[in-house]
Amino acid sequence: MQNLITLDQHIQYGMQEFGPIILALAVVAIIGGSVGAVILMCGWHGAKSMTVDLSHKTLSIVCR
Amino acid sequence: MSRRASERCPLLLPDDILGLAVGLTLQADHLLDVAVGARHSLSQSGEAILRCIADGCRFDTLQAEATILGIKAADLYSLLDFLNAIGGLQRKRSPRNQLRALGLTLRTACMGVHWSPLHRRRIFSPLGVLWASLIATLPVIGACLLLAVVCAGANLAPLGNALIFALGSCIIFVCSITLHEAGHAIAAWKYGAQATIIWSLGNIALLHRRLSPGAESIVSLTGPAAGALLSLAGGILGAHLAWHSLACVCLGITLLHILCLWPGYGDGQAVASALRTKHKGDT
Repeated sequence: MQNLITLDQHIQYGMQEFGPIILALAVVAIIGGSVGAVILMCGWHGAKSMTVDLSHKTLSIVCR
Repeated sequence: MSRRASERCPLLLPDDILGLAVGLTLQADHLLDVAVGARHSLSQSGEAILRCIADGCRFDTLQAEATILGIKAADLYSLLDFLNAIGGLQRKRSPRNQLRALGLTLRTACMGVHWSPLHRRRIFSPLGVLWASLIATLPVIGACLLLAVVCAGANLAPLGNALIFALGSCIIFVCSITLHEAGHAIAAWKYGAQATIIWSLGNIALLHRRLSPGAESIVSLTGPAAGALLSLAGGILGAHLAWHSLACVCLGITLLHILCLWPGYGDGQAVASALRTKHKGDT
């Protein structure tokens, strides 16, 4: 690149980048995956409720 | 030189129309970056290449011009890479080519070649950073709304409740990212550096003149602190009003802001690099 441009040595670039947007998308995708699993198990019209109980570490899926 | 620069240029298609972003001015033998006050020197070939970009030429025309001037592909790609890294390269692309590029990007990402999307660039303003945050988080917003509609369609939740929850979560997410970036910009401004926002789908960053290591650390820390405080306040309010799901989402967003301080990437990397520079200066 030196053949084309020589960067200004007096001023350098500082950058702050926010990366975890992709992580947020991954979290939404994981929740979406769980919803997809529920729909596969109970059918499109069959899924009635999905409850997460953190204290007992259980995920309850109630089908119609 | 990075592998992508030396071997291929996956971020551009032959009929992409190029341009120079706002804040970059081409002069006789210099490229001025008004945003940070930098003055980069250009060789004759470099000036010809940048003139071609500034005039809005196609990427294949630029490659042909580089061949005529005897410029190596690796040098041309390195220059494009640098312009892209500072948000200085603009591109116009047809929707059909956009789909083609998406396929190419997925393929190259799968092959382990680092790719970089092209960004938009704008001098910092409160409305500008809100718009940039909205565009950057558009994939998350779209996914949340789609999920809410699917949940409602499959009788997992009433449509109204699902949409309100998804929209509420997205609003808090966008506001916290806006405040995160505004925190960086205000801190940089306090140290006399004007900030420029760079954004694309799924990515947002702030560019400014490099400051002293101490100031750079404070600028890097202010963003995550501001974003985390806002989402934490939302979480506490949610818990107080017994909106437990929203409180959980806020807690998740707070964690995302704290994750920014991981030393390997983003703000954490900037702090680590500033501290290393300071340590070297002290010894």
